[in-house]
Amino acid sequence: MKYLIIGNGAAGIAASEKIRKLDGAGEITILSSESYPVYSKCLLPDFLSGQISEDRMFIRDKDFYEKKNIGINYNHNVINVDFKLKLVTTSIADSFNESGTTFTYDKLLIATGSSQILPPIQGLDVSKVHFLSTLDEAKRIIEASKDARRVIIIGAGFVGLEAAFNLYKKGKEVTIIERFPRILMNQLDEKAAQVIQNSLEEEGIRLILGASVSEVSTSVYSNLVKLFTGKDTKSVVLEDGRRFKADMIIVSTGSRPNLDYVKNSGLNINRGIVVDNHMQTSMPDVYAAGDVVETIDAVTEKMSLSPIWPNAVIQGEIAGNNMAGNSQEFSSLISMQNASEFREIPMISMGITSPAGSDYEEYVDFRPAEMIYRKLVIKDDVVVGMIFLGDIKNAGVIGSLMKSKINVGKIKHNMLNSNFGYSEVSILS
Amino acid sequence: MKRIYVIKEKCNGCMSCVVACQKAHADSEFYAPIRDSEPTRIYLQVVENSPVPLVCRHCEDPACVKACMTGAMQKDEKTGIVSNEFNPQKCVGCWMCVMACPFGVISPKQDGDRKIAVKCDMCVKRGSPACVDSCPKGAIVYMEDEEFSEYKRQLSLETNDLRQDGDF
Repeated sequence: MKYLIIGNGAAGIAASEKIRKLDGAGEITILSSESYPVYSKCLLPDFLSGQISEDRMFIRDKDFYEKKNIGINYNHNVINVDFKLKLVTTSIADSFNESGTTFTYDKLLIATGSSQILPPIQGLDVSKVHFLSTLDEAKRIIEASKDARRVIIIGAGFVGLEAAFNLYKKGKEVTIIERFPRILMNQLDEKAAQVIQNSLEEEGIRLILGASVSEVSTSVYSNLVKLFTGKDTKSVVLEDGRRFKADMIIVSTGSRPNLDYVKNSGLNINRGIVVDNHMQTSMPDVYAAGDVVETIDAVTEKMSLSPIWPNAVIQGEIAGNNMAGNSQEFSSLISMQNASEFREIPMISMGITSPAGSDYEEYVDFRPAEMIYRKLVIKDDVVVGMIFLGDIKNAGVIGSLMKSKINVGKIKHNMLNSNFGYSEVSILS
Repeated sequence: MKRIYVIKEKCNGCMSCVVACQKAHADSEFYAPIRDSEPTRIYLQVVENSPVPLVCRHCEDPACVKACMTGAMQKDEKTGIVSNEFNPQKCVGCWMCVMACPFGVISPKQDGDRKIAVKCDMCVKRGSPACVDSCPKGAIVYMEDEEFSEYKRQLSLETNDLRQDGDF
């Protein structure tokens, strides 16, 4: 059996390990558009600040591919997939050989992840901004930041805030511009966002909220200035007319699945690739997992993308299982779940954090002096959302109740108490 | 594999296991200096007025391992022990495992100038689990799976005998 995996990230690696476990003799080949063994994209902000060296980015041992007998092909960009002929065509990055290479497969996994989007802003093109999606990009940011003093980050989601915080640690003057009125709009409610915002502002990071960027411009002399000073200064203009100078701009306004190479292939794609509950796509013998797929969210019961590490691994394992002939069904996961830490404040949020409507009950534990804010959102005695800030104990217990839609009517008044724990949950069923 | 099992009916809530766990992992003879700096990896909870010790089950298919984004959290293929401490990949304190663990048995720990997640490691360095060794009631045992099911069967027989004798 010939297994071909496009993508060398969380989902691709999880699938390859599962397949190897079940099929010792099968031929497994991974195609990567980058030139590194599997590394953690979640660690890029720490790499940026220098807190983590390059060798600590890699999530598997050095001899992983050899030991598991997995073929790895670096620098291969997939340009076409022919589902009828079961043929994948690649072009090799940084090579003069334009003809590319072809790979055949019996079972194919599409796990090419996602990338940051370039928002439609006048004067903004890829040559003027940086993204934080890959290790090479992070290296370019480090290189460019050497001569930069003022850094502007467009977008106050997780990626933007982590980049901001880590560049700030390196001594940069950081300004974050966000079009929503608060940071982490999709992950936190107003109160929790305020706690994090205060902490960032106290530190000296400038936040400009509720403001849209209308233009990014460079002066006519910018090339000359760059030549003599190394500085590549640009102006960021807001819709209300305010202007901010920046030596470096990082864009983090959201991500999109990397699917250009299959856009017109007949594969059923909505916002992401549509898969059945075996992670199989609309094409025979073709599976997909990770940031590229749409799955049913356990909380909202709607189809959604879920570009987070743990879900990519779980989906990859299920895809791998089914590809190797071991039928396993996907049970829905919580699409929105995040764990992080900003300025010593640990934080976990899941599901619906700012509910709209009167069907929801909220339980809150707010201790501002201790920087603790915990909230549960409950609907019909089922937990549908949570924010744990400052104290993250038992977050996974709550998450598991959410995912399994367990009726918590009997214990809901006690779930934010300090003595609450799994033992109390175990008597529910 | 050999696991830590809890017989909650035998527990009297004395906290010896918690103290022993903290001392073992801080490598300290005394409790007072490490009480607040070394988190426990076994938890004593109270349900319906009865104490229940709770500790990692070293799951067959661990959610924490899948969630770990540095690769530090691994299940050892030989011993079955799930830990983020003895591997080349290191924990960075991202809390993905805390978010994923349905039992709530992973805790943050201040480790120098950074934070890491800590959990039961079966006291691999020590040789045998400190919680088991310290329990004065025999409520926490360290046994092979089959050994424990046989032990539990014996226990329930004894309990039934006691009930019939009217002493229970």
